[in-house]
Amino acid sequence: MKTKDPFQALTTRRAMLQMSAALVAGGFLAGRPARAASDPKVIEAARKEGSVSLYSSASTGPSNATAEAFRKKYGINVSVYRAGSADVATRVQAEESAGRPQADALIIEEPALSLLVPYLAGYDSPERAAIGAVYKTPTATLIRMYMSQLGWNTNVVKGGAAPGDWKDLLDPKWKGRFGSLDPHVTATTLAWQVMVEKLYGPSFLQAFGANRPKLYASTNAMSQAIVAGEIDLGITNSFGVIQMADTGAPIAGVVPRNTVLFGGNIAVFAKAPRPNAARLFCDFACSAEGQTIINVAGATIPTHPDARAPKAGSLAELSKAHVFSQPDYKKILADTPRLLAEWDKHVR
Amino acid sequence: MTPGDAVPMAAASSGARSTAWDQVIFSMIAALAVLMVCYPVLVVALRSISKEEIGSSLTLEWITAVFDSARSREALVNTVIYTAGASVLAMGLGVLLAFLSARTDMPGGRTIGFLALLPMLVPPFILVVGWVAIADPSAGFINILASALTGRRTTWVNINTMSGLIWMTGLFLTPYVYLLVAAGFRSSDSAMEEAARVSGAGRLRLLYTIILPLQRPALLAALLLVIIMAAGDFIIPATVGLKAKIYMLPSLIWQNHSSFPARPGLAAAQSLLLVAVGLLCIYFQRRALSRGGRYTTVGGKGSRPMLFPLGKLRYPLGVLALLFALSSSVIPLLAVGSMAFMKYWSPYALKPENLTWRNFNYMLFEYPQVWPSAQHSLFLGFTGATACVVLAIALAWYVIRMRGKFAGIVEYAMVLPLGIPGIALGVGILSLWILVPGGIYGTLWILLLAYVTAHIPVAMQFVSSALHRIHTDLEDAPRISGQAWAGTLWLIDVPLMRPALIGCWLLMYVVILREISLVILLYNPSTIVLSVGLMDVWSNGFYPELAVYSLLLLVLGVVPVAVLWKFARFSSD
Repeated sequence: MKTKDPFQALTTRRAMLQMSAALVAGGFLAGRPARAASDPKVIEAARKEGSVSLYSSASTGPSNATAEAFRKKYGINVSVYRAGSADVATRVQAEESAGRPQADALIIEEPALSLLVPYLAGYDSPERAAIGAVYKTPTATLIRMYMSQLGWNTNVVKGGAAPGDWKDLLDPKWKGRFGSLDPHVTATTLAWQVMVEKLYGPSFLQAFGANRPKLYASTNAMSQAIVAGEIDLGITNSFGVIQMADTGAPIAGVVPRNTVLFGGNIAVFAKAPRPNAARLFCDFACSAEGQTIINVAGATIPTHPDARAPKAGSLAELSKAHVFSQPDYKKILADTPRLLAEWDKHVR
Repeated sequence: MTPGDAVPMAAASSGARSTAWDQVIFSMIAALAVLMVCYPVLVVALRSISKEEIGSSLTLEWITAVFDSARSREALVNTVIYTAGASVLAMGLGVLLAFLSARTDMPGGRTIGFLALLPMLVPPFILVVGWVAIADPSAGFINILASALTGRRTTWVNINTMSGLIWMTGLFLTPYVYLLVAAGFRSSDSAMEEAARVSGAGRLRLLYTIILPLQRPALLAALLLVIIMAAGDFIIPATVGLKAKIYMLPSLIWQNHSSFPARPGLAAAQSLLLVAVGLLCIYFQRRALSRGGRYTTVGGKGSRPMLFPLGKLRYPLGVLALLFALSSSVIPLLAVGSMAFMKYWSPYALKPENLTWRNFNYMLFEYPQVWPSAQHSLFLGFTGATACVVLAIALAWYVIRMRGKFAGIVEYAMVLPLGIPGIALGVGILSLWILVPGGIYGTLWILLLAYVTAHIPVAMQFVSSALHRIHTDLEDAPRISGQAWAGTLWLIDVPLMRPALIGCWLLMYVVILREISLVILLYNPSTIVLSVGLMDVWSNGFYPELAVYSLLLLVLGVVPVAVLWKFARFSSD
């Protein structure tokens, strides 16, 4: 899937935010037959509670777009605390261990989610019925997905020179000219490391290291480095490439046939000070309407079959051409010392 | 031995006249301040010897892990090289610029002094972005120019190296040295210099035997600050250092905090190493100050520091200093400024069709909460800077003038937060105040407390080095005429320390405005501050928006600096 599209000159990241707001305001989605709805009693109780406190590690654009749409729909204010997933986890743990929980709802990725499961409520939102079983656990629901992919600077990498698969990174012509994340910094890179080891065997990492990647702390920083020309190409992620391309920047990319699928989850805290508002927000975030908004704003892929985020595509379409691996974070966390030792041996 | 012993007679006489009430009040302030900084450090210390959370079984595993892997040993060696290099560079440049602009007839000294301060007003990672735009081997302007001239890919300079890292950090720390030392140069007494000159000392000799030794408190304070700040700052190691695969202690601490599985015990043990470095520095500083005799250079006689005539070198040195000031501040800022107007950032994309106002529109008008957060930041900047300066005056008075019973403890305690990374300090403060029902958790006051805790060490160095220079004879006059300690402080010491106090206030204001990692765990949606948005934009990776945000901070920082600059400069006249 090439991520450069013909509409990119007309649209921008902000336009996407505006579009998501317009979808709500115009009742575009409200007019569709609802497949599920929140319990009226929950709605009434939530209105009485008056507000909801959301802790989110999704970036400001999608977090705020969802909060704003929820406020418009139900007249209930959402206060958003936004921070990196490690910081969100630290704060929740501190508040919980002091017996002073503050948050009602949570949007967070793995592996931080695993750390917070003890503090979450089991809640089977009526909106979850439409979402595939692989995207649900008793306490959390995946609502925004993205993939690991290759991205390159279109001014430097042209036509047939562009890579198509992970093993193209081993080509000597990219020696020292490509970027990777450092797994010491981002656990998601470990998931990629596990996948390539499975696909190509242990020799892959050795050849990868010998081709001397430059290391970055986040995929966003890397997308920026690709555009600036610091590196010609890099292992980045789908929403980073889409959003950067939307600014008119010379970046394009490809999702290799085998790739890793990451995602953001919605969950409700067990000791939520406003439990009904928390449930209602969770319903909204799981619904086709809520997922459309958060995924359009963040250039990510919805898990609800009726939600639409055209730029990022749909999982049903994408899975025809790709094999997704959803990382087993429990195993990865247990395996981290070995994986990092291997990384240090070959890549550093 | 306390530094007060350096001026035994004077201190003893003023100490004897302090009333018991003075002692009680100042001791209480000192005790509260020590508690304030020690609590979070204690949390870190306990964490470093606990297997899991604090309260679990004890272990030395984290402490030994600091030294036991090749990776952390390599990081320690790198940190030593980097710290030494950056400190030498910052001290050399800062002292030289301060001397040239404060004590010579170099033309444009005032402008150069102002330019030298600019890097301080910009969040460090935007300076990094600026330097990458200038000196990246592939995407830096210098190497793009080199490649265009030679016709093939050519690298003249490479920021992704140890010398590149030292260069950036050295320049980043130069303003701290400049502010501390220039204040000293400006308020120095010319009497001793006269005496030396009359007895035939040449200019260089004068410099080495009188002027620099008299500034020893300021020089040592500056050295202490740059060493700990270079060793502890994580932005440059975590960005350019990572790219260059040069691991350092702060980047390991940051990784152990924010990666999965997080290893907060190891991060705490590594932080303690930084704390130990800070304590060691304070130890040597106290020894050096206690041996060297008296530094009281502001005496009772009216004096105006003599300006060194530079002669033929006047203009060449002026041009050189201006070039340096330009390259350390204006050029990276121009790189950042040009980013702010671009649809996306790439040095190759500097063309009219890529220019836009949209980033300004978005960041200033559409970005959620930018104005409430600006209000909170301004409030916290003003109150935080003022609180830091006032507390530092009280503590310096207790330590240097009163030589209170716990002066040594106060001095050592007031350096502790420098070694603790912002995020760990945040955890410490959070874990205390969350336990207090009602309390300040979730309010602006917890942010204020966090800022004061984190930045009191720097303020303390500024105020102490200024107070060391004031002769206690000057304080006798109001005392004899019946003024209490507050009157003496207000009538004599505060006016005499004004250049240093204003410099200190400005510095506090600016660092509070741009402080990130400390507040990320402590802010609430209703107490959001500007730097939280900065963090957001930074993690999103869109440099043009980051550039707009940085320009906003720059403007908010420059206004008070421009207003107060004149007072900081001429108050010794």
